[in-house]
Amino acid sequence: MSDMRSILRKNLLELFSEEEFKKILDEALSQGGDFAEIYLEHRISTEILLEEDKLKNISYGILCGAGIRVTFGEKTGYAFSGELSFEKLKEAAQVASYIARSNEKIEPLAITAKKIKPNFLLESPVPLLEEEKKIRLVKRANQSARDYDKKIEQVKIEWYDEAKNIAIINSEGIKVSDTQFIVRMAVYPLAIEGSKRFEGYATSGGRVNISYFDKNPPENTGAEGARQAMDMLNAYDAPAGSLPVVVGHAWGGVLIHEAFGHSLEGDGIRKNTSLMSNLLGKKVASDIVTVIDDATIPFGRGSFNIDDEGTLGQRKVLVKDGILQGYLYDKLNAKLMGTQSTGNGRRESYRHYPIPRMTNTYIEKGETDLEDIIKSVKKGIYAKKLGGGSVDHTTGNFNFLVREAYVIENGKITRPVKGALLIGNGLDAIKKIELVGTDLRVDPTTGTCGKDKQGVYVGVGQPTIKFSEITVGGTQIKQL
Amino acid sequence: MKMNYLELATDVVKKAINKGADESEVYLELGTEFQVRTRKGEIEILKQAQKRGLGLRVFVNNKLGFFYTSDFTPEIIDTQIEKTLLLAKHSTSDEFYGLPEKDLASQKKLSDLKIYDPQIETIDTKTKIELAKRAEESAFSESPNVKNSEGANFISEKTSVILVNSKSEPISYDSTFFHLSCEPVAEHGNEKRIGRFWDSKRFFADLDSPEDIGKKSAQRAERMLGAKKVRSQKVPAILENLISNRFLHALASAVNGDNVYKKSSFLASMLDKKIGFDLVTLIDDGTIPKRLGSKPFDDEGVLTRRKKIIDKGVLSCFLYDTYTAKKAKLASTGNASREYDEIPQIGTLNFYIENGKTPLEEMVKEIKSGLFVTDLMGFGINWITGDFSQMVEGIWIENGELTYPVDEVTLAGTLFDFLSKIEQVGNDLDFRSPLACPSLKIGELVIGGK
Repeated sequence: MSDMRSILRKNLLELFSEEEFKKILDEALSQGGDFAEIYLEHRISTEILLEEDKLKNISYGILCGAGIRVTFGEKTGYAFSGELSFEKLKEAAQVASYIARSNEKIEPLAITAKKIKPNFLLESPVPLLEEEKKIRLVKRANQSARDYDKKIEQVKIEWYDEAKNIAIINSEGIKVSDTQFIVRMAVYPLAIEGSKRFEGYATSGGRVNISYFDKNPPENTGAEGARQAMDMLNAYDAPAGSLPVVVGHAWGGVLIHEAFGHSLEGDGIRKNTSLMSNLLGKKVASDIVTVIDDATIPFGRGSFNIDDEGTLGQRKVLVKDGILQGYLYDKLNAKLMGTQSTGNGRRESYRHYPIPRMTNTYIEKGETDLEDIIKSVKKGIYAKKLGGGSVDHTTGNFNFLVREAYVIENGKITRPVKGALLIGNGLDAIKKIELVGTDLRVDPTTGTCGKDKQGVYVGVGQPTIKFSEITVGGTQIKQL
Repeated sequence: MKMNYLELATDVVKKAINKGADESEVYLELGTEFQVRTRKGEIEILKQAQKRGLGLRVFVNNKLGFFYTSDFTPEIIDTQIEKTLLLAKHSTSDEFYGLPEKDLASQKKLSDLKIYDPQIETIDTKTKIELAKRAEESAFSESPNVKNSEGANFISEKTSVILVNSKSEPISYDSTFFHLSCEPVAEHGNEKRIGRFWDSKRFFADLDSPEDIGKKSAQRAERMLGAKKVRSQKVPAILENLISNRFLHALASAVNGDNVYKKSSFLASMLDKKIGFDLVTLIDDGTIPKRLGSKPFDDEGVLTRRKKIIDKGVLSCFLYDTYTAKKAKLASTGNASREYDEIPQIGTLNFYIENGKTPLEEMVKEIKSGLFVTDLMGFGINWITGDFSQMVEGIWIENGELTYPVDEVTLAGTLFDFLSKIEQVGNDLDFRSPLACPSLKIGELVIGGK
């Protein structure tokens, strides 16, 4: 094993004594705040970049610090320090304390250490591998992408892993810590033929053990990226207009994440700026649609034992058979709404205050096989692989890039099409789900969700889904 | 305090050399940031903090190793210098690696650049909170339809960069950043529309007034109420100056010398060729006083300068840092860009299309039927294939007049189309972002809708 284990500060809770933690919380509440919290973080990451057949960058980084948060009604005071000393934390606590202006001083509750039961075991997490072994995995993916076809002229591979210790101590008496591991390898093979070019994309990883790469060899990831580049190299221009669209399984779930999930986050609900405010118990989707957010999926990219406020990760049914069941809450928004946190308070690092975020969000599996779904489309699009997307959660208007798509004619996949965006309105689109496939997969390999300038790792998933109609943003108006 | 950081950086550079590096470099960043968000007249978030970190780059036998840390504990840094040298051994040797040549940077021009506003030290918290409150208040008073809000934000940041390497004299500079934004929600029946308007400046006194920001954000929300989808068709389009710069992000990647070298750019083989309309001149310039993209030297210490990337429609230059310039047998264009936790890559400075002559109203007047695009969303601008597809919002133009709002439609084409079908360039270039572009009239684009 590399020396990562030795410099990853093992127990952040032992950095300070009970009394010191209490003094910091006291300082934080000195102006009358009603809740105070210390978040400690120590993270070690390794990055590898291979391109042009060269290992261009192997880097190693340490991020550590503490964030102090004080809340007072709807107000949040936040300060952080990159230095883990008692003096600096006390200073940050003082800065954060000023958000409150009240004479009623709340005493922090006695701190009791809380042991947590992990959702899944990582005996040999990938980030602890020696660099040589990581490099070997990267090289294997590179070789297989290059061997796929001689038109693959470039291959870029990005490897990123991190091992992170976090600890949360708050004025409600909670004292808890956890270790989180994650790895992601992304392969970008570039196919070139004359003036045509297309960059393929494939990923692997998750919160996984070393044995993951035995079952998911890097060769597969390299070849999959190259296949996509080759298949799409001679793609036609996409049609423009409203069409039936079949969205592929696994990463296709990014559509539900953007188009629907964001509207269920507790901040927008509390502020009544989300289009899903006040719709609990109402029918919001087709009867065949059930949507889950689950932080406990083994090895999932969005999985954790505790969220960044110390609340246990949970499985929540958001929509059951088309009826809206619940929202995603952090502590602050839950309190203001008179409910409990659902374990969705997350943050990018100690430099950020927590906000409600998704974990692994997916559409539950349905009853129709992929083949029958394709057969049901007379003229439409099969969006096999989606790219990134975004949403305006006020209107629910969403957009997604399609990385790999095909035209469906009379129930058969005919030709590849490129460059299209899928757009629509979330509330509208989820009602237009006509068929739900049997091939559910939650993608553990990739997905970083951005909100309020904070990125967090998420999993997304779904079986193959058919929408009766989505707007496709191509250039060919009367092609179909 | 800063002196100590300079000593620390110098010390790390020396230790790396002593432990066997041929060349070494430390990029150290220190920052203070302040953010206040007010919502419905009350403070919602108040955030204040200090940020710091250093990145160590070493070259050994033409191999690169990199390490970054926000933990400045001397023992941690010391042990990691050796680790960084070990990491370098695993990387591939490359004759083009190395620090920029000596004497490229000089401190002389620093004061001319005006990127540091000393006022940042004296503005009190109350004033900052008031600015956010005033912006939001102005949005609420603009229209009775503005009934809700995501709040208003005031952000101020001070950043110091210290760059020390084993070849040249240490260099450093300070810069400031101020930002005020407002996001009101206009409502009508069940419909909600968010409007966003903001300003960002190097100098506090140069920010637009909060009243102006609030008012414009409310107008942008309100004018979208009742938006509808239009049918798929080919029409002329005007891209508003606030959002036309979205295309510049893709163009920046297409003229990135690294992507060009790897042929992963649709412009890879287009140097000296005519790729756009005569009135399109694209500049990258780090030397303009007070601008957000200005800095005295790039993030490897090479002096920044002004380059014409597209000269009257002809592609005339790509962007390079030291490594990619050596590969292309050219000089660095001073475009190395990084945060402390990254190795340098190619980035833009002030990257903008030169101002044109046509007022926006005139562009609108001449269109019989078309779309005035006020927002562009999506990841669909592909600088590799040169295709683009974006979700857009806007106002429909009928017989030279702005009529009803439009949303849930796409706009698609190729970037060559985009560059060559620009027919008019507006006179409204506005630098509230380092990537800036006046309003543009595009002859014909494909709308995907009903």
